[in-house]
Amino acid sequence: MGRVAILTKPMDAGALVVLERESQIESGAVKTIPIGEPSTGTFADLDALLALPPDERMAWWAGEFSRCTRCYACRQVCPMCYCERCVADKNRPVVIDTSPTPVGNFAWHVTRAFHLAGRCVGCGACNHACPVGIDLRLLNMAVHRAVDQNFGFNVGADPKTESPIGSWAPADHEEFIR
Amino acid sequence: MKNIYQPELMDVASVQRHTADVKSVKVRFRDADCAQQFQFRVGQFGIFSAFGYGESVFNICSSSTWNDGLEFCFRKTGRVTEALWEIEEGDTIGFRGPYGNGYPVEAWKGKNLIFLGGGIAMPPIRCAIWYALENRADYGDITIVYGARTVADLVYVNELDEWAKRERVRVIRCVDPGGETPDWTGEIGFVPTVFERAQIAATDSVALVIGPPIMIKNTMPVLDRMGLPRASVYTSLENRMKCGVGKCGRCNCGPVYVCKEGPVFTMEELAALPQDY
Amino acid sequence: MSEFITSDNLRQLAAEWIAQGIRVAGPQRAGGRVLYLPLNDAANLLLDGFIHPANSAKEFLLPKTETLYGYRVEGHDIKLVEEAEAETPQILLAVRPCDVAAFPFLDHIFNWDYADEPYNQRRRNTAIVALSCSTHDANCFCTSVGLGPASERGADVLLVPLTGDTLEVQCVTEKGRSLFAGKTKSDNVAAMSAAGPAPRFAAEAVRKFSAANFEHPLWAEHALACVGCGACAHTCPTCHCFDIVDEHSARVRNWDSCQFSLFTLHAIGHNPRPDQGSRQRQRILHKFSIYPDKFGEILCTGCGNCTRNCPAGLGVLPLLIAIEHEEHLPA
Repeated sequence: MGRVAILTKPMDAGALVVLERESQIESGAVKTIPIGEPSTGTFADLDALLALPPDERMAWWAGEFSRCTRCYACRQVCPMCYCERCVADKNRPVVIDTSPTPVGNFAWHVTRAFHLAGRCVGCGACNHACPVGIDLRLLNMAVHRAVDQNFGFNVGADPKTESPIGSWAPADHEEFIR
Repeated sequence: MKNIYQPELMDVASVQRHTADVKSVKVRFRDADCAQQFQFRVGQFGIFSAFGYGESVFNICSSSTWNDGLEFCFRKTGRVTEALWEIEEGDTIGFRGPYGNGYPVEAWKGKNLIFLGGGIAMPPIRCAIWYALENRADYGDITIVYGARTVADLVYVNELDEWAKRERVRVIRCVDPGGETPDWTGEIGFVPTVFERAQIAATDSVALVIGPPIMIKNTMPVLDRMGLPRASVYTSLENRMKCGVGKCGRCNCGPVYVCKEGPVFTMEELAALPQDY
Repeated sequence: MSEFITSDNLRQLAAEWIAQGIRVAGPQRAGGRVLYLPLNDAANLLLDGFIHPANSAKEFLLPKTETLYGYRVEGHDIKLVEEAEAETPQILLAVRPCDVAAFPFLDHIFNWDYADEPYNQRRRNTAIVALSCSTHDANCFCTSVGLGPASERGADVLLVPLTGDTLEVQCVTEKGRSLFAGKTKSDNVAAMSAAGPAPRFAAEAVRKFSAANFEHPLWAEHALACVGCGACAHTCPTCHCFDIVDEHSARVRNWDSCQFSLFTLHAIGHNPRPDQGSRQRQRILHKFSIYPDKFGEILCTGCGNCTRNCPAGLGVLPLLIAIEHEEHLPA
């Protein structure tokens, strides 16, 4: 195909870093042509959400996920979702209910958020794509914050740094292992 | 009113293992009224449930004249067939059907019947063979050419022996080159090749050809050369199905819903359909 | 003489229905969108300020997930557990005509030779109050498929907004008349419906081309941007393709989409539609060729949801326009 150039919004460039880190593209294989201004979004709405007591937060997410129909637009547009066979599509065994029930939708969105830990670049494509307006960005930002706090990891930095989701260091927290 | 998606409960009467990955299962209706009233046309299919795993579509491979239940035959391939592989006599499964158009056995009356099958395609042919044998006077000469990759892949082998003993029935079995065992007495070669070697007459005949796409593709020229018109050559199509009743929108082959207007087609009808299967 | 109701009185009426235990659904705000949702508080009902909700109203006749029946495994035995009948009456309120016109299509396919009782029960218990459109956007094309902003097809009642806060109430069926009996005022003024979008393409040209061009590079070309999600199918009023699965001791029916790669995948690994081009072709064929040939109707109401919701801006409209252009090219 020859060398490829991509017009990149600021978050897209971060996606390319992750793809290179995960050996999906070769270093230097893609020329980026930056366009657009970096967004100046804050974490204010995440702070507000995390300030709620757990049962209210749960009720809010349950309300969001109740609208999900499992169209998988979020997955299909996500630059980091490139698995040849998604865990939600596996049936031997079934890992995630396919039905758009409260249980199934929770399992789907939370699993995807975990699979994006340290990988999501905040491009917001999932939010744009969701036909029913579920605020997936907030979910991914919450995980992003946890990864940042626990591992000090900058997802968009040097592609040669190791991602927390696929690596281990002796200094990693182990309090949750009992 | 009855929920069309709700299956009848079936008791597993017996399970027969044919090869390393093929089994056939005989089931009986639990409900006595159902058992009494149930009818189907040879060539129709059913949707069988392994509760907890899902449903799967299989041809009803028993003859429609048999009263003691149904039989289906399957290869262990995916989630549902892996679950069905574990069932034993006394277990319970589900059945919905019969669905589909079936073979036009009325139109076949008076004809010589040519049955060509490969591997796991024997079961949908088997029911037609038994039906013809049970209505022997209605049909002419019967020729059966059945082959598989290896000897171990042949199914319903004991019935092939049975059929060969019947009047005006010629059974030719074959395996692919390299698939024979030292004591193999059948033919060696692919089904289309072996069939052509047999020099069967095409007069007043209809053919039922079921097998993998490559076998069908190579058999058609042989039938053409024999002079058998494509409107006299039948096949049974496989397509992914779920509802079986023309609603879930999955099985259509171009304008035709395979579950309702098929799965039995003539080669002439199939040629008019797009390559959507 | 025509009948009229104010939007306040309409919301008041909706509140009465809700208080009576009737399940009411209509357009409301959620997640930064306008969606058809169950209505708990009549004050949330939207009657203007939107072109078309981001979802479709089919959810209330064909739920996105539905238990067909349950089962219990008891040793070697199975006990089936029948689902209770869907008895709760429901009223779909302020539904766009392009959503409502889809219901007769669904009625047809769900009763084609086999009667789908789960669907029919719900259908019998549903009354539909349509809301005519005062305007449209670039994605609307109802007029290209034989419909329009004041179409009564499938409706029990059609509401036509007037200036100010009044709507004309056109009762189409007995069911509709009984809903609004005594709730309206008569007047001599007639509401003027919007004209609707200018036709965007000729449906017959699309049917002819699709039926005759199964193998054509146009399908793959247009599918290049398609990401293979189900946003179009799930928000489409006429899409009804479904999956049947066993989950949690029940046999369940869920919305599916011909755009998913798994839709036609055989267990053995063979896929008749292995790429997005063949899957896009199926969508267009099913709606504009197969359905018309079998049932005499186009399986599309021109609501524009597919294009509005498509992450790649596709939907059917760009493809239909391209097809018509292709059909009319000199041979």
